[in-house]
Amino acid sequence: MNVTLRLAFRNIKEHRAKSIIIGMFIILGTAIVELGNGFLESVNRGLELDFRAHYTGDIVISAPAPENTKMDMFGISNMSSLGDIQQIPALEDINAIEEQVKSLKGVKSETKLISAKAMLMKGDEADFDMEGDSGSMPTCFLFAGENDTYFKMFPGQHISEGTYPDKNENTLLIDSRLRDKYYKYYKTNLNVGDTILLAGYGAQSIVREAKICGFYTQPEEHSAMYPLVYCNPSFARAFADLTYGATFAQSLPSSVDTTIADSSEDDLFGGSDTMIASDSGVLGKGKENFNNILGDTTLRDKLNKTDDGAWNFIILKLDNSLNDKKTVKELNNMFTANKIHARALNWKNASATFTSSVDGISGIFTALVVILAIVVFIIIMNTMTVSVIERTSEIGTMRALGAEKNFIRRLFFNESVFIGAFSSVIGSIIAIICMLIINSFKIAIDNDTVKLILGGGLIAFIPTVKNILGTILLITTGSVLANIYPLSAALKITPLKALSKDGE
Amino acid sequence: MAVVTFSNVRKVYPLGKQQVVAVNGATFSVEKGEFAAISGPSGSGKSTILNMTGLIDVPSAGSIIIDGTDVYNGINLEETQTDTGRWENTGNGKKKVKTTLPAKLDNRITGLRRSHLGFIFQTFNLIPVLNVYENIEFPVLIGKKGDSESPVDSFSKEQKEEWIDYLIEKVGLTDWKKHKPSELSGGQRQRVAIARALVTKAPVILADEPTANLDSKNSGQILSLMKNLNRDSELQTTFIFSTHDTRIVNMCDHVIHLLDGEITKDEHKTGSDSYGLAEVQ
Repeated sequence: MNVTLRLAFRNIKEHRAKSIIIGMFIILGTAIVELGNGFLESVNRGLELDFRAHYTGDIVISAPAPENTKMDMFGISNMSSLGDIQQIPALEDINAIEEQVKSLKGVKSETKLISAKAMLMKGDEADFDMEGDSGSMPTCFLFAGENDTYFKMFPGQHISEGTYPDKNENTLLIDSRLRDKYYKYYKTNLNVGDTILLAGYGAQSIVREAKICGFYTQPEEHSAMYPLVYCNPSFARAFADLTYGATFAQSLPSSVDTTIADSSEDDLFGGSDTMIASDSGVLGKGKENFNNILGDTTLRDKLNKTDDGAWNFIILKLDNSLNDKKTVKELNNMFTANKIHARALNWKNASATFTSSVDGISGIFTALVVILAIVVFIIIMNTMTVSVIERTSEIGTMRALGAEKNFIRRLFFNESVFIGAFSSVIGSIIAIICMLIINSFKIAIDNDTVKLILGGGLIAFIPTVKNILGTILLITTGSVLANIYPLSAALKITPLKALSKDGE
Repeated sequence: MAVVTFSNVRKVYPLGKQQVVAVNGATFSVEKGEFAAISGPSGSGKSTILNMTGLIDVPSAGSIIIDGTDVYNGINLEETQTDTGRWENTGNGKKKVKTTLPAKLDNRITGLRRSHLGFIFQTFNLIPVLNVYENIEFPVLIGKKGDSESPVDSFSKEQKEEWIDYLIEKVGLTDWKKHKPSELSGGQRQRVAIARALVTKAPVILADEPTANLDSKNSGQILSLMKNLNRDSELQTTFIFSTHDTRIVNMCDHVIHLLDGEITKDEHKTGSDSYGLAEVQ
């Protein structure tokens, strides 16, 4: 065996206490990093499989997000100010988008979706004074897919009672979790055939009546997905504000002056005193005129009618889902080239409401790992420096006997690589055993907030070869780097020092 | 033929703001096969001369020739200082003294040490994690192929093993070759150090107070062993001691007397063998 390797192994054995201290820190660090990576891998993989298979497909096409907002399939978050909850805009020029999609290769299937937020109500109106916190309110996402294609693309719902929503009636297929929430909040059971009210979110406080056609359990037991209610598109369009009026407003050219929309009622119609007392002004010519102006609601009704051709999203599944990034890029280039007001997103961006929290956790975890690495790094460096001081005589003797500085470098390199690699392998084995044990318990958390933060309710770990080898390489490199300072101290030891220290 | 030649060698150590002259203008030669001693009281500079002979300390001025190689020829000695790690007031605030030798010079000196010089330390300085055989083998293993002048480098693996076994037998440690230094007595450790010094067939062995940590019986045996090795016509090894042990001085055929860093007497003796050996045996 090479003399430096032999010396390295013997020194590690000889200085057991030091080696064990360093080894324990590396083992602990490796296990923490790999458990964290294994958990994040499990979360990411679980989210991806669940969302691609049941909610987002591989690619989602939507209108661009309104200015200063973030938008995905589950809503819009306004980054600049608080205000009314904005509805997801409808796709403009849907035919042109579909033409572009048809020209793409590798598209397996296509469907369309309307998405809105709603809350189940008891009786005629929502009872916000009921006991219980707002987090337990029976709120949901309202999903309405294209009649013939949506449930073919996403057939995973396990219907426990009833049937899918009717194409022509306002019926609802409700998530069983929402039924439980409803019961907890209103102390009333929901059954198939019951008629309930749904209240919409947003500027228009819309309330609609619908009949429950069935209940289902979500495809993935521990999914992070909020409760969904499936309905037919025309019902959902009212909640998503996909009316002719909205579509008309959306398609107005920028040259049209819409500042009137920002004016108050008083600005438009004068103060209340004026309206009652005065005979002048717009509304001042008597009851007859008043009725003539406001009594005719034909235009308003027309604009409030839902736009049957309006959709929020086009969802695509690809023959090979690994091509999603490439296809997203291709589609976005097509939209830009053809001046189509739309954007394509991959599954992750389309479900950012859920994936961003996992990304946040990944960031926090990375920061913790960096702090941990610095602490371990300093401990290794300190221990090795003490070791160098203890071995001054030995190193000096080697130099006196003709060992070049490179020999001392190799010696320390071998020692640190061996301790780093061996300990990180042990750490990996411990981490894998921990993962297997925890996975076998199938620990699940049934809290929507925790599910949203953790990307799902199941606490599981997936050890991957890439993560394990990457961690071992990283830790080994780190332990080599931690030896730079002790090594520089060792290289300064001259043979002269061998004579001034007690030898063996 | 001289194996070590000092010409007007001077060594100055900075001590705070002052300069301490450890060796001043040392000039002497040691011939091949001599049993030589550098002798003098504590602080006379004998260890400094031995360290400079062993190329583990760099002179401030002068020339040192080891087995025909003028070690510092063409080198500005003022710029080469050994590592002291000191901070000195240079007039412009405190500055760290340049402490390391240039890499090229360091490697050349290290190669010369390995191939031309053997060391026997007062405190034995064996490598604690290696056994007797491995400690002796160590200088052979650290040689870089192609740039070493040690005759052992051209040996086959079997020849090297035979040679190391021969040395182990010579120093009387055949039964102890698999033992670690911690399992040996002081005398046995010094025997290992002697064999290790001889293993590269270096023409010069330097021994710094080799008997200082041994009892009188072990001292006698070690000195006797070294004298026998010195006499061995196959090895033809030159021994240079730094010592104030009169028994060693009496055994030597060449004694360099030092006082306050200067050579006061360069004495070549005859008939010292019998006296020395008689005393130590």
